[in-house]
Amino acid sequence: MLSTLIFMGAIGFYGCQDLVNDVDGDIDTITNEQLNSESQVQFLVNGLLTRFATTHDRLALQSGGLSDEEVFDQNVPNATFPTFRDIDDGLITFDNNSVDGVYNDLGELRFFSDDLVQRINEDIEFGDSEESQALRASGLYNGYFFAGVARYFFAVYFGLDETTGGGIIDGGPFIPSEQMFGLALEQLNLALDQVASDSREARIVNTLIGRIQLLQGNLSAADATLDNALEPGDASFSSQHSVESANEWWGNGGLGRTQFVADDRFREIIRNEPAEANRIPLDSVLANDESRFFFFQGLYPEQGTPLPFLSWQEVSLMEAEIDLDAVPNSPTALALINEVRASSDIPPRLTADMDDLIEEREREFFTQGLRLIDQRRFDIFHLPAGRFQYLPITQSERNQNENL
Amino acid sequence: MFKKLLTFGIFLLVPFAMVFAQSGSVTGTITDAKTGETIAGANVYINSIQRGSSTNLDGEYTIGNLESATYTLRITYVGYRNNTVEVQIGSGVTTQNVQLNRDLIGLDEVVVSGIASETSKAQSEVAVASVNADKLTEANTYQDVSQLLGGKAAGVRVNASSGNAGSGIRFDIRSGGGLNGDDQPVIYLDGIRLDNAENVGFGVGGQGTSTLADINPENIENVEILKGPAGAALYGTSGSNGVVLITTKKGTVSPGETTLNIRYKVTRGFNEQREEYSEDNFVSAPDANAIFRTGDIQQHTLSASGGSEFIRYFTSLDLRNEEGIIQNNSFDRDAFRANFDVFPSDKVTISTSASYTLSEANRPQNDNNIFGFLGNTLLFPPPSYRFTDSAAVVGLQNDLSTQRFLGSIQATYTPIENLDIRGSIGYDGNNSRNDELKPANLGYSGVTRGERSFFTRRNDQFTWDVNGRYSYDITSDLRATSIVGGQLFTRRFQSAFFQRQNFQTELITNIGAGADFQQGDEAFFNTRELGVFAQQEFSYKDTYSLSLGLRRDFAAALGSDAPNIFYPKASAAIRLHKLNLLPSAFTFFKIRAAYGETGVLPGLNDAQQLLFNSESSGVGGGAVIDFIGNPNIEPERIREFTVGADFEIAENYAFEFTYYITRANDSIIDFNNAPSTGLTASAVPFNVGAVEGKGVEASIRVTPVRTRNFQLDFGIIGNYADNEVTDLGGAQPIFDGFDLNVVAEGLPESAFFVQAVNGATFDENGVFNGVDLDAERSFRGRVVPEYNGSFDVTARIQNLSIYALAEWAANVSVFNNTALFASQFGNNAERNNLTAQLAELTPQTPEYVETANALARTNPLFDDNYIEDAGFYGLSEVSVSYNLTSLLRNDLSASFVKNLTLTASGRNLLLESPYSGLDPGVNFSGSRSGSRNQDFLTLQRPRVFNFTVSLGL
Repeated sequence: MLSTLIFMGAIGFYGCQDLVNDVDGDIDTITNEQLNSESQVQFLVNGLLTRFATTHDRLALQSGGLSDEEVFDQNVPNATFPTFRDIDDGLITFDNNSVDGVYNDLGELRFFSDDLVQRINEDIEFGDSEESQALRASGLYNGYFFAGVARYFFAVYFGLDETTGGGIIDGGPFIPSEQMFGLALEQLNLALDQVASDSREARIVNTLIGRIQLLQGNLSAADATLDNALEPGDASFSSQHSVESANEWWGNGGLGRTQFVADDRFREIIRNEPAEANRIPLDSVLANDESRFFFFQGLYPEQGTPLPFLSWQEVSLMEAEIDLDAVPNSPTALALINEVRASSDIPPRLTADMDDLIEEREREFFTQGLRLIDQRRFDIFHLPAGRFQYLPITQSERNQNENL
Repeated sequence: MFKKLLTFGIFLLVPFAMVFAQSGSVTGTITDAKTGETIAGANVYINSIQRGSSTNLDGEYTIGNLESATYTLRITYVGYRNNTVEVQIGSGVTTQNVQLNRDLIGLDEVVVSGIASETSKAQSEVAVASVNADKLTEANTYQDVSQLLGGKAAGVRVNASSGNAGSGIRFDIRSGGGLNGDDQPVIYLDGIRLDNAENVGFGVGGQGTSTLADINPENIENVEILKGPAGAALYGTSGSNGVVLITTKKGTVSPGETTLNIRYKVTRGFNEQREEYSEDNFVSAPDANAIFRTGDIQQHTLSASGGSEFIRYFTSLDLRNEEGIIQNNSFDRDAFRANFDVFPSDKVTISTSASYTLSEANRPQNDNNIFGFLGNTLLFPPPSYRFTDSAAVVGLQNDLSTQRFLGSIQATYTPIENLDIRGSIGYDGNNSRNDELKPANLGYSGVTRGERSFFTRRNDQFTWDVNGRYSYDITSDLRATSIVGGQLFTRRFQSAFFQRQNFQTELITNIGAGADFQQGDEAFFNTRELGVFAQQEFSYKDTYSLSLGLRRDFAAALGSDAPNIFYPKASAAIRLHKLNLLPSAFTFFKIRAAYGETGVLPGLNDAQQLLFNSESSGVGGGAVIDFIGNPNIEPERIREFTVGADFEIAENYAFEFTYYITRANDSIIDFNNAPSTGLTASAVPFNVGAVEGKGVEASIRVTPVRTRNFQLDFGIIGNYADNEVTDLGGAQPIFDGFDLNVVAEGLPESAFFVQAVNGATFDENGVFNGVDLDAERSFRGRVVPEYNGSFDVTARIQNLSIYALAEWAANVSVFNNTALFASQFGNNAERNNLTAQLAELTPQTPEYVETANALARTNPLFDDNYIEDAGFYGLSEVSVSYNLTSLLRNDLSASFVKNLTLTASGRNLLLESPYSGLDPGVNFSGSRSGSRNQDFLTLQRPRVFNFTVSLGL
């Protein structure tokens, strides 16, 4: 007995661990430390752009559903998600799966961007060459910019309850929207420091800064910022999608699967003003009970169609709004609005007041995630009191975060 | 010490001195001790000279050419206790008739009672379930091992998760092991550790195909099941949910003869819808019932077996084609097997086991799926096929083809008597490919120009075993056996998939013809596990026995030190009937107790701090987090203590009883980080959980009547099993993807945990205005029956045999998600009727209140309304066989026929359950998911009829 135990011991302690560890490693993952290299900076930046895309499109779709822009109706073929129904009704439980998904993605976007800044500042050694330094600046620009975008998203789309907007950073306490806007601006200003003031990157950042300032009610600051924002002729800054990272509007509010459809008033708009179909293209689908047709957005016919986030048209309409706020029926505002309309070959308006501007925004930014924000700030939210005006901070955050 | 053992060995090697004189022979008849019936095929063997014979159809044997001496005849026959008699041979013929007693529960059957440990059931210190597959497949035909084993062994449930031909298979053994892993036993076939995964491929709504579907029940001799750590401790990590040992058939020879047995078995049968959907439940029931068909089954099995003194063989060819009960579902399996045992010397045995299987499953789109028949006929009131046009449903093809090689070589060397040294290597190579085609010009939720996808899966695993076993007498009363050994297991897995869309023409559908790439990726892993073990067994006066064992396990966990862990075991038994303390009616009485520990390994990457992968997007690959681990993670440890008794009264009544308790701790609980940290790609594992289980399993076998022409046997199995999660280390309850099944402290594992619906609420005028819902979630049902069992009966009237198996379960629930969704879309007839009735009634009347309460209890917003009692009893198997062999024996022209049996059998014949769905045994998300007992557009298991002719030559 004793000898067998000694024999066992000998086998047991000699070489067994080496033997079992002598296996081929994963092919699809790398460790955290392996990313701390200059050569991996673009890969990290792409991670930010990837997560921005999956966050922006889902927020645009879900906030569209929560606003009066989109409708969920189970009479639409393939519209089956109860989570979308609840979002449409503003009766959202904290464990709504769809909200969970995008809230998790937003958490990652915030972490990836802060993490990239920290890696560049502390862990990655860059060479002295111009190329290396440009890569460093580009990495920092993207890190700070998306750190600002993430904080902005928290401020405008999420809330602690039905009407208290704001978000949470890294398991900390709840940060109300106003304070979160401030944090977003801090990051965006750091992003500006990394790029030339006349660059496209600077104009993109200024567009978002201007939007935030407008939402803060700081019109004079916004007015000044927007002077250096995107200009007519500039391409929009959009989230990039692909067949493997499909635009959510295609996947759940369009050709791929139609769960959300456009509110019927958009169909009416096109009936009354056919040229509006240029910026609100709609496709139709026969209802399950064949009693009617529903209409859904036709802006994103492919999985890979980009989804605009910031555009010169928004800059023009923000400037028009600032003008109209100072001078009702301002002719400058009318010109700005008509310039935007002309970009979609839509005949000009003859007059424009603040209500017209709100209508212009509703049409121009159809599917871009701005309608919910506008409904709140112009006090035209369509659901009864007590319904959610924000996507709620999720149950999983409430479960794990001791500050809530 | 070792020297001493050798001395014993050498002593034992001294040949027994016999005095030889003249030549003679022994002859006689072997009969059943009770009925006097002759026993054909019994083996009569003289160990000392390694010669013997077997009885003919009249039960007679002869062994000739024997030197004059005293010999010990050993007579063995399946189903009877072994018997030995001494016979004095002189010159001429000596007659020695022998009677055999029935062995009701197989006490003399040799079972594997642990790794490298074999003993008779009469001596085993743990309850080993043993299923005689050879006997079961004589008359019945089984699609797969789930059908073969279901209801046959105490403490073991084996279920197909749907009625799809080629479905997933799930084992539930005792009260379940720990919280980790897939809860499935490790399965060996002839020493080969089997790939027992569920092959999902391209999802067809939830069901995968079990890799066990490739195992042909016709080739199985028997299946033994070690049901928990007490028995399986020396199998180490992975044995925590029990060990299933499948042994395939071998060639048999009558001692001293060269034999050839040819057997051909042909089965024709059909699957059919067991129960129709009712218009009382679904408005669309006629459309749903119209999708069913009668699915043909045919199976041909041709085998040749036999051997001589130096070699034994078993070969078989098996072809099975089966159609499911709906279109687009079939499962075909072609398999051949060759097993050889070679005896190059009296000290060496070499055994090989090899099979090749080619299977093809045509998989239907059921379950959580808008492309299938059920999803398009059960959710909406007519017109049906609103999600997907019926032509598109018919057109969608999903085929899973598998090539599987199973092979093992085992060598046993016996250098001295009672010392066996064994080595074996087993290989399971499983290569499968899943093809899916959505034809062009049909609509699949936005895909209208066709889509082609393929998925390949390759799994190679090797099992290496080496062990030595030496038995020796320490004193004349105290016998000991020492076992040492090691076991190495390696697994290498690769999968890949590719998908393109949009064909120019529906006539060409190769993947290159698709205009647009959709997705493609691959996966890979490579693991190794190594265990070394030792066991010491003692037996005193053949009455008291004791075993002590220890195993040390190592396993690959990439990126950190391999976890290694010790697993001890101890077991003991006392055979009380040897002590003469019991009434003589107790012909056998054994009490036993056993304790053992095993474990469940963490996930391969659980010990990694943070891993990134590349996510494909509109900007190319981007770095995103893949996994968040914990460098301090260890295996979950599971302990089991069992105590039991086996006894036999008056040879007609046999009882087996086992009580067990299990405790798992260090269970790995995955903690979610707050999403605002950004670390949500995976939950983080910690060793903080614990779960306790307990249960009783009891079986009774009775032969109340046994005469020459009539015999009645029946058996009853009853199981009680319960478990409770006792610790989650402060973690929040862990839910399945549908927020129903939970792992929560104080509840059985996977229990339904939702807010209870209490009825309706009314406004101040008594008008129904909502649902009275509990504020908090509570326990609403369990997914593993607290009580279950089976009853089987076999009656033989001369040449006619009738066999039936009934099964039952109590205190188990199923979530009827099909009915819930039908309610959402207005297809729940009951809810529609209640709504109409309520509109006619006057508020505040008792009828109004009653109807409003009933209506509230059908509200599809609340899952509780559709969690239903799903206890059941049913008639699982019935067969009627007529054996024509004895009739043919009188006909000289057919005298070469050794066996001819005709059988008609049925499966899943009756089922009674309060469950409103059609089958309480199914699960929409297959057999491995955390979502359990959820019926969502899941295909009912069919009723099956088979007609079989079995011919032996």
